Amino acid sequence: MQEYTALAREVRERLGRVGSGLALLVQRREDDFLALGAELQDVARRVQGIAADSQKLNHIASGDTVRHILEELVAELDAMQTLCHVDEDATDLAMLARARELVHELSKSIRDYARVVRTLQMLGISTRIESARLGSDGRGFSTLADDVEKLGYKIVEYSDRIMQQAKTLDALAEKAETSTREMHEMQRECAYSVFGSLRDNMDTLHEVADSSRKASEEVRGHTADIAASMGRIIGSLQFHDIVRQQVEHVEEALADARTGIEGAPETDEAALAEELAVAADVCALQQAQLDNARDSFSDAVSTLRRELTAIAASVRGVGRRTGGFSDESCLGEGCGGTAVLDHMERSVAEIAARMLSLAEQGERMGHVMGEVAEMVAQMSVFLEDIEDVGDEIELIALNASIRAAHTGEKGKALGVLASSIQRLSQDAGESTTALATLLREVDGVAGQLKSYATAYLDSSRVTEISAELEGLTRGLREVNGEAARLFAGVGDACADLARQVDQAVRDLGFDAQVTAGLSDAAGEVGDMAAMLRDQVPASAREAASRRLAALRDRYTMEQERVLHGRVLDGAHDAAPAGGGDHGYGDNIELF
Amino acid sequence: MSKLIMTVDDSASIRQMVGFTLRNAGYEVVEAKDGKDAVSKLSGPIKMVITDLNMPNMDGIELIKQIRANPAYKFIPVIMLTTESQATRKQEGKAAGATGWIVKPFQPEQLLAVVKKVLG
Repeated sequence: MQEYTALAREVRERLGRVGSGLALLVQRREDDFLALGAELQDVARRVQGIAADSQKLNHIASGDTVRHILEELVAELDAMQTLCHVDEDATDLAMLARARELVHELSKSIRDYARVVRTLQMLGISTRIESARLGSDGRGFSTLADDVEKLGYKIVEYSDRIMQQAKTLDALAEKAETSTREMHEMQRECAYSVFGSLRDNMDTLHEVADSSRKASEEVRGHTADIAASMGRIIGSLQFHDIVRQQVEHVEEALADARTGIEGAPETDEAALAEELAVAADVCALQQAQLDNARDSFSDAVSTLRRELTAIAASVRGVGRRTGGFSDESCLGEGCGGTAVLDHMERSVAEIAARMLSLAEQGERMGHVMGEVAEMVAQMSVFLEDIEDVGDEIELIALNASIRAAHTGEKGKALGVLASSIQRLSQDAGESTTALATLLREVDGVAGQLKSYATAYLDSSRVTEISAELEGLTRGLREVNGEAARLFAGVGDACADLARQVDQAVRDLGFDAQVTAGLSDAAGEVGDMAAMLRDQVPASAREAASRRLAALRDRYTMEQERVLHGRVLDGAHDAAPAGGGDHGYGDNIELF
Repeated sequence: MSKLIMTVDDSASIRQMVGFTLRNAGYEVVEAKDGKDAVSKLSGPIKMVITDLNMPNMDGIELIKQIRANPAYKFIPVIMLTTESQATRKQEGKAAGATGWIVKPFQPEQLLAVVKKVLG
């Protein structure tokens, strides 16, 4: 009897010691959980802000605004490059070369004309001599000689004027050729160097936009990961309440066991043995409950650590993949898309300046071409004069033949002269035709050069496109400014938030005290259970087991019932509570 | 306009997590620490109550009875959110007028799906 009494006192004292304040071990951590919950809310609020800014940023880089500006930019560049076209066939140069070639041929033809003039002069002299020899019969021939001489002078005058004009035309065409070559060089440089560089930048901007679209998807993935982690954290934070209840039930069970021992009269050995037997089973059961509570608490805190660490990683991921405006290797100012925009802005300004310079050059070219065309037009007036000369020679030849016929036998020599003039008329006619053909061709070339001149003179479109390009880059710059502001904000916010979460993980250490306390308590009740089972007879334990069935009703959690069955009834895991899974999960039932 | 939901639990951390989940989804939340506190705060446009079962002063079953006795809230959805999973207790809750039963711990998306479902 004394053995049970002493044992009962010891157990009562140990139960009191282990049970007292056991629930407080978990309850006291509520402030820690609340602080963590508050921090989680702050993190969630900041993540929402970051995700919104990040998506806004990615939308800016890949969205309609930039896409529209890029399309417009491409269209304007195409238009400008068309204006700044490089005439690979150099048609204008070929035309100028042809003009000069024609001028040279013209000069040659005019020199051929000089022979006609010399023949005319010689025939004029011969006619005058023969006329003198014939005396009164040859009087009419002196008029013929005058006509021939006059015609000679006229041809000389025309030839001189044509030669003079041809020389001026040649000089102008040469000047136009030089200017055209210079302009082609400028166009080539503009087209291949500046436009090429600009198009490279456009490609980079398109890549930035594509990269931002991908980044947008990644950011969505990161924010989904963060939301999933938040969900798991919310689930874990509820374990304070769950474990607290479980430990409270343990405390109550231990207190009941203690009360049972206290209530048994020390004189009633059987009653004392039964209470000790109950205490043995209660201790064994509470050891399992405490181990389970400790593991649940520990798992919950491990989940908190793991998910918070995952959130920090995802937040850093958002920071890294926010916008194609930057990349890991280049987060500073003037990198990524910003650098491209800077370069583009400079390129557009350069192109605009070059295009205006080209337009001015074009205007000058236009004037030169205009002068060339005007000069050729003036030369076509000579065409009529030359054709008149041919007609005049024919008339003179006809006149000479008629007069020779009238003079009869005496005018035989003059007949020979008349024949010569007629032949000359034919030669002159051929030369005139050749000259006229050349002048007509020169006139044709002049017409084409004139249309080129008109095109060169149209600089209004250049000014217009230049203004549009400036407007577009200004738009892009504004968008970029907004993007840069957001980028800096998102980058800083991500870094700050990741640091905050990392710190929260480092500060998360309250589980050590709780799990140690629960382990100690589990060890203590386990020892008591072993000791009591060793010392209390089996008959007392059988009677006790019936009473322990009532303990089952105190449980609120399925896990508690499962453990009860496992420890005391030797049962395997109980069937789940049978929540009606309507697609919400097996812990939910809607009535 | 966002709907007002009352969450009743003696655990501040559970009230915090329920409130966080609901507010994050755009709902307004009023908190009560037990059934008695909930009854005293039962006014205004409360559209739904999410309550724990075991609480001091007044438990969840009694709270449901009080809610159902109030003509203004007679038909509002009341969801039990508890560690209790016994069929007999569920039946008790159902008889008192509970709309549904969620065993802790809940996942935010589960709670929101239920709220969406019962609020229509």
